Amino acid sequence: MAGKGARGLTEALRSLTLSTQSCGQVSSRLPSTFSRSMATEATLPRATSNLTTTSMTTPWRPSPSVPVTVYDFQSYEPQRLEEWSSKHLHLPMRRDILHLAVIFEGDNTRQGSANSKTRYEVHGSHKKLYRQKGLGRARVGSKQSPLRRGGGKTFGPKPRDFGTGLNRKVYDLAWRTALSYRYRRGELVVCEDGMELELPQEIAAMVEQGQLRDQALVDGFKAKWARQVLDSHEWGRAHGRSTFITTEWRENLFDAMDLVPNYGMALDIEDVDVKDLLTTGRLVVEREALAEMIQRHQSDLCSKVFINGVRPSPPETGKVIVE
Amino acid sequence: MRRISRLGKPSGARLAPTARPLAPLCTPRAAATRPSPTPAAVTINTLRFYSSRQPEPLPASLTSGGKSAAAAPESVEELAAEELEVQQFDHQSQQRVFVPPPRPSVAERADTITDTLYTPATTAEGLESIGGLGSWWDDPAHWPETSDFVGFKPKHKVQEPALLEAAVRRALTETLVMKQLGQEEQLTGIWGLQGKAQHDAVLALDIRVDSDGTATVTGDLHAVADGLVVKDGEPNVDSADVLPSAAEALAWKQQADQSWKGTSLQDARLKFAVIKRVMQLTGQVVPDQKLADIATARGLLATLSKPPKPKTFSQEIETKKQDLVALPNVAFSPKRVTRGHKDQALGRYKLIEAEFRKRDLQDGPLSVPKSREKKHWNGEA
Repeated sequence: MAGKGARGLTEALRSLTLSTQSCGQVSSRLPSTFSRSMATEATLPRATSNLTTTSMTTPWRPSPSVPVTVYDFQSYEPQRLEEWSSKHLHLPMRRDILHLAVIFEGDNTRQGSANSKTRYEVHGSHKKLYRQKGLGRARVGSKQSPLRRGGGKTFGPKPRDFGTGLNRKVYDLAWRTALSYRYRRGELVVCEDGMELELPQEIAAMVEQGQLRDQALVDGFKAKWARQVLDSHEWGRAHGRSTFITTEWRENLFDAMDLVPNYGMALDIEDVDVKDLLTTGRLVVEREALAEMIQRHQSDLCSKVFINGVRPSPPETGKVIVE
Repeated sequence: MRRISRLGKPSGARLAPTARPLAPLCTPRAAATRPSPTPAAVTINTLRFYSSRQPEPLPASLTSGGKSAAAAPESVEELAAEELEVQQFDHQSQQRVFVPPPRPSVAERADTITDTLYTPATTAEGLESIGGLGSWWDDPAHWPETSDFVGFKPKHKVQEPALLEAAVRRALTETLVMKQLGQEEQLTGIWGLQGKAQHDAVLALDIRVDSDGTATVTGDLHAVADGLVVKDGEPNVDSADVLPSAAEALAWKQQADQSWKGTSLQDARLKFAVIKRVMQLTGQVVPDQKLADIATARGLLATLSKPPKPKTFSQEIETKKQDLVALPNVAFSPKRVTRGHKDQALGRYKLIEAEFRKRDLQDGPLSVPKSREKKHWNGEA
C-alpha cells in the first residue's frame, strides 16, 4: 500500500504540474530554496530535488503503435515484424467494459424458450371435480388448478427474449480491449494467413490409396499430430489451452481441435465473441482474421460523420517494418 | 543439388532421416480457398520443416545465393525439377516412416470349409480380443519418435542464465557478422545450426562497442557466415547438441568481456534477427509487448533470463524457499499428508492393507481417493 500511495502521489503531482502550467515553466517556477526574512536558528529547508527532474518536464507520450511479430503457423518461425496501432492492440484494461460485453453476449445468447403451461393450457375438462358442499371434503374447482398435481403452473416461465442492449461503440471498445489484454500479457500470437494443420504428405497419400479406411485411424493421427504441434509450441494442455481463430473453416485444424478439446478450440471468425477472446490461455490468430476483427470493431474510432466531405479514416495499422 | 542447402535446416529439423513433405488432407473447399501452389512452390516450401508458409513470398535470401551468385540464374521450374529428383531419390532410400495397419482379411465361411475336423465356434469364449484401431498410432512401431513433429523451436527450452547469455552472444555476433558483410536480406532468413566447434568459433570473435552502442565484430567473419548457410549432406543437429553444457557456459561467462551487452538493438531489423536466432537456439520466445523495451543486448538478456513463475506453491517453496525447508523443526511435503502417508512412514501401511485383503474389505491401496474406489467397485476403468 505504501508503495502504491507514494506512486499515486507522484502521479498526482505530475498531472497537476502538467495541467496547470506548460512544461517549460515548471523548472523555472519551482523555488530553489526557501528564504526567511527573520533570522532563525534552524537550517533552511531545501527544496526536494527528486521531483524537479526531467521526468516532470517531459510528459509521457504513449507510442502510437506497437510491434507485432507474425509467425509461420505450423513451424512457429518468426516471419516478419509489423506495427499495429495502439488504439487497436494497446488499450488500457477496462474490466467493467469487458464485463458489460460478456453479460451482453450472454443475455443475447440465451435461448429463452422455457415454457410451462398455465391452468388454461393444461389438457382436460374444466368441469368442477365434485360438488361444493355435502361431501366433507375440501372444496375444489377444476382438475387443472395450480394447487393440484398435474395442474397448471401459476407463474411459470414463458418464452421470451432475454436480450439486452449495449451501445455499439462500447461493445467495439470491449472487443479491442480484450485483444489488447491478450497482447499485453503476451498471449496474442499472430500467424500467417491460411493457417491450417498440415499433415505429412505420406499420410495424405495413404488416405488416397485407401490404406486408412477406418475413420478412427485418420482421427487418431490428426489428434496425435495436433497434440505434438501444440505441445512443441507450448500452446497445449499444460500451458492453458489455445484458441485458434481463422477467417474460414479449415478442415484439418478444426477437425483436430475438435478431437483434442483439452488442448483448445478453433473458431471461425463469425463464431468469435468477446468471451471467446478471454477464455483460454492464448489466442492464435491468423493475421487476416485479426485485421478483420479489428476492422469490424472500431466504430468508436472512425466516425460515420463526414467532415468537409471526407469521412475520418481509422488509425493506420498492420504496417510491415521488417520482412 | 546445390540449392537444397539453402532451403534451410532449422533447429534440429532432422530432415535427412525423416524428410517428408507435408500436405493437408485437402478438401475441395480448402483447396479452393488456398492459392494452388506450383510444383516448385510445393517442394521449396516443404523441404523446409513443418511449415505452412505460402510459397509466393519466398525470401530473396533463399533464391539468390551468396558465393554462388555468379552462377547463371535458373528459373523456378528448373529448381523445382531438380528438387523433385532429389526428393524422389530420398524417398527411395529412406524407410517408410508411418506404418499403416495391414489390410483386413476375411475368414472363410463355415459352410465352404472342406476340413472335416473343423467345428464352428458357437460362443466367443477363448477367442482373442485384439481391440480397435483407436490407439494404432500410440505404438512406437507404427509412429516412431523420429517421425515426431519438429518445429522452429528446439525440443527443450534453455533456462540456465549462463547458457542463455552464451546463446544471445552467439546470436548477436552472427547477426552483426551478416550485417557487416552486407548480407542484409539474409538477416530474416533461416540459419543452419552447426556443432559446438562453430559455437566456440562464433564466441571467439571480438565485439567492440562504441559509446553510441554501435558494435563492430572483428575476426574471421566469412567463416562464420559460411557456417550459417546449410550445406548438402550436413548432419542434422539439435540445438541441444550445438550449445555447450551449462558448466561450460558458466566458465565462459566468468572469463568473457561483458562490454558486448551494451550493443544497441534499436535497429528493428537487427533486433528481429537476433531474437529469431535466440528463439531457434534456446526456444525462448520474446513476447511482442516486450519488444519495444529492448534497446540493448543487456535488455534482451534481462527479458530472457527471468525465470518462469512457479506453477504451484509447493514448487515455489522447493525452488525459492530452501531456507524454510532446511529448518530443523519443519517438515515439507509437496502434497497433503494423509493417513496413508503417516502409516507408510510408520511401516504400518502394508499390514493394514494385508488385513483388509484378508477380510476382503479393501481392494487396492488405501491412498486411492474415495471417488475412484467407488468407480472400481462399480467395475469401471
